[in-house]
Amino acid sequence: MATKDTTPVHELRPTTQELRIPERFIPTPTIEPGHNFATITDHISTIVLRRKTPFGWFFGLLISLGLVGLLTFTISFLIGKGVGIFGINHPVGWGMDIINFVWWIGIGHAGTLISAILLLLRQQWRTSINRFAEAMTLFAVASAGLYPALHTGRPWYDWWMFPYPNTMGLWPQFRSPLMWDVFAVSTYATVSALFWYVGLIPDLATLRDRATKLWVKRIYGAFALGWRGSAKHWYRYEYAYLLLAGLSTPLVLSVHTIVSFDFAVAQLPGWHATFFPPYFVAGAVFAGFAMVLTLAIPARKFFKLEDFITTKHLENMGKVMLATGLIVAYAYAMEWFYGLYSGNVFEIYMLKNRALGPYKHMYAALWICNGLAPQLMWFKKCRTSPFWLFITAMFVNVGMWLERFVIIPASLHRDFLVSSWGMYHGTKWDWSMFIGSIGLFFALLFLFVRFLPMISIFEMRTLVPEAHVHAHAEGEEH
Amino acid sequence: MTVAPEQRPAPVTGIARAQVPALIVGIIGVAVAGFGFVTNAPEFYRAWLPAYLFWFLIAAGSIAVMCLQYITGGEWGVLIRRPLGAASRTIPLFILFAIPLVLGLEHIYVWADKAVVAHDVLLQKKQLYLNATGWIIRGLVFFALWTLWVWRIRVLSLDFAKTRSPFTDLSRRRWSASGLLMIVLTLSLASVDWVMSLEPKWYSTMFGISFTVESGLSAFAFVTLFLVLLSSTPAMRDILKPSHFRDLGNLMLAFTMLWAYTNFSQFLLIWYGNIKEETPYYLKRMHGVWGWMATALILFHFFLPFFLLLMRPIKDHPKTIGVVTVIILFMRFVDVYWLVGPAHYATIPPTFWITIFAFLGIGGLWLAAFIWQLKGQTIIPIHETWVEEAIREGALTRNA
Repeated sequence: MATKDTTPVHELRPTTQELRIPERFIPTPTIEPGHNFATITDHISTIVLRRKTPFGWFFGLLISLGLVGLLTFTISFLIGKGVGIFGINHPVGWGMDIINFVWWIGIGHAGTLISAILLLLRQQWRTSINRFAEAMTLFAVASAGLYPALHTGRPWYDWWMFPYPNTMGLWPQFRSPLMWDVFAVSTYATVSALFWYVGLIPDLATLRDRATKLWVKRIYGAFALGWRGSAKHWYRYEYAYLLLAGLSTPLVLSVHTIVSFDFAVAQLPGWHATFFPPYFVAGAVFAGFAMVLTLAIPARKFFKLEDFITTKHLENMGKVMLATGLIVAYAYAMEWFYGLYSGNVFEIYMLKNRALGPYKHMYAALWICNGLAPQLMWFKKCRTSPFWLFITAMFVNVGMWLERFVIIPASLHRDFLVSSWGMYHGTKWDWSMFIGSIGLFFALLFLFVRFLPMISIFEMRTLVPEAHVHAHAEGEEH
Repeated sequence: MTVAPEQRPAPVTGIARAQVPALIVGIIGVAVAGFGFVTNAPEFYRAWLPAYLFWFLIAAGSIAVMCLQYITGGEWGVLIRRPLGAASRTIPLFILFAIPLVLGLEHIYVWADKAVVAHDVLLQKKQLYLNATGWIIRGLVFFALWTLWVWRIRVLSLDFAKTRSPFTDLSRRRWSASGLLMIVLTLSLASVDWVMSLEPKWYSTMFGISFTVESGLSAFAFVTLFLVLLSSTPAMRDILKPSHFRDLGNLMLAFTMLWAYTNFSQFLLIWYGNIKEETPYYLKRMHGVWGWMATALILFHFFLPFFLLLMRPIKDHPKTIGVVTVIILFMRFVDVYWLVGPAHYATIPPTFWITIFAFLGIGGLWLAAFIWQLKGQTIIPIHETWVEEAIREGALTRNA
């Protein structure tokens, strides 16, 4: 857009054809050339402040809100009737509620990984996707939180899960990983929200300063907490942000580790496996990156953000998806190896039941989605093509849901005693709750992209040549 | 500071001088350990395994870390490429070192002892996988794969030094990516064959993962110690900067935490599950001298290096980080012994001296081979991409 009036320095340099570098070795930029401070601020903030809200946005929000309606209806019905409306039974006491909880929590891992771990690893490519991914994390955690809260059956007693001194001397069972979940997930949600908000402050101030209407200024101004951009502000900000990054990093690992304990502490074949913690964490990152891609690819097209979310970002996310996908595939394969190696009849039966039992189609689909599809990412052509990335990401989204299905009901429904075997199917209420939570997730996302800058403006500014003038001058002194 | 590496006088690090002493220590070590073989062959075989594993993990971990370095191309690893390469090329040597294991298979592994298997139904069932021929064939396949990858990466690196062709670099990256996958899979399976099957009825799906993490930690600690020893030589004094050590320190910190993470998770889940197939493994290792070793592992394999490596001044100085690497390597040996020893003994056996000499013997010979592989080339891979950036301290500290 505003690139025409700036000096196109990059056009003065010899082109790649002149240098005769084969195209595949040319590094892709983290931001397309030709941008400066002004164009970045303009490009991102106008989405929120100036540009006419596109029709598609209203349409998307409307559908999402419709699904939120479905969710509210389901919840009301659930509270009225009780958890009996779901497909859970004996022996399958955990069904789609837990599947969906784990699925959402897994998706909520990419945001913090991108923001915190990639920050500590000094990966610059995180800059344009971190805000978006963090928001996605929060909304995914919100969707996830619904399930265990409602699955208790009497959600109005959920506060009993927190250890508070009470006259009855009743305490939660601290030895239960479900209890650890309460602490892990609530800590994760709190720190992620703080991290996201702190990162937003300088941009909220930018919006405040650029807003034309007084009431808009006031709202952004209130949330900007009096940010003036002084050196002291920046110093404190950088410090706080780094500390929060350090705090978030172990949380990325701990949440899904503890979620994996929910299963692995049990003695059930298919659940009791010591490698569950790293396997779950890798799966979570895998699912999270797939969801970021699922959202970022249409969003960058819709809001014309190809200059900021470049092929490099997409390719790197594809690589992370490949690496974590391979870890997950390793776990699937090793499950078979150790199961057969163990010589344990129950373990071996569990494997047979997965592959040939009543849920065999889901198991086969799981291998196709999570084992096979990500292998496309070995090819640079697929890693750099939004189309193939999107397809792969969709496979992974489905695959990670199937994985939890295979782990939870497919292990529970046939345990040690043949007399206690059963079957599990989700009811229409299970599905309406799931689809409703997807609606909630998207409704929050639609609101986010409309009212907040979906890409960090001030961090993007650090990527343009203008920001490096000082650094270069410093470097030459040495 | 900004002198191009090519214009420096040839570096004199004096590593080559250590080769003959290492060889002598190696030969004496093996000879004294061999005395154990003459007096008590079964004990000798059992004593050989932990010493073998300790050094093996360094070499195998070097392959993994080298692959990781070539894929990511991070500046953290440019200065350790040469030692990693040299350590990885020693891998075929471990086929030779494995001879006592093959000879003593039935003394080391219960499942190879026909008299025991004859009375055990489960072990008979497991003969399908756990049998001597299978063990040897699988071992040879592992070594063939490791050697193939190490050799390919070496050839491509030599070619890259000559041509600097991006295509060579690309194909080296491809070999490294597939190599990392290969090494994780093979190390997982090797860990089952070599260590986990010592207690053939016990199994834990985490085992292969911890073994791989342990190899990575061993390799990082070894190459960091190597750089620390070089840091005072005239050749490297001006090149090695605090930031180099800090990067390696951070990586060791990460691997120390991973080690604790995998081992703690495994312990917690087995303790919690409380199944009689699984608990004996830890019951043995929690009592008597093994219990003390377990405590030492928690304190000195995790907590001490963890806290030391959190502190930047410690990571930045060669002397202090050198101490940390020595602690880690020493605890690596304790860990290996704690994994292997309780399978055979209720307490540290009187034949422990054989393990010590086997440790010195294999170590001496291995170090001699390592130096031999390292000789005749610059320690800094001057022809590689990013080397200038990696050497220039500013490039590393600017974003830190």
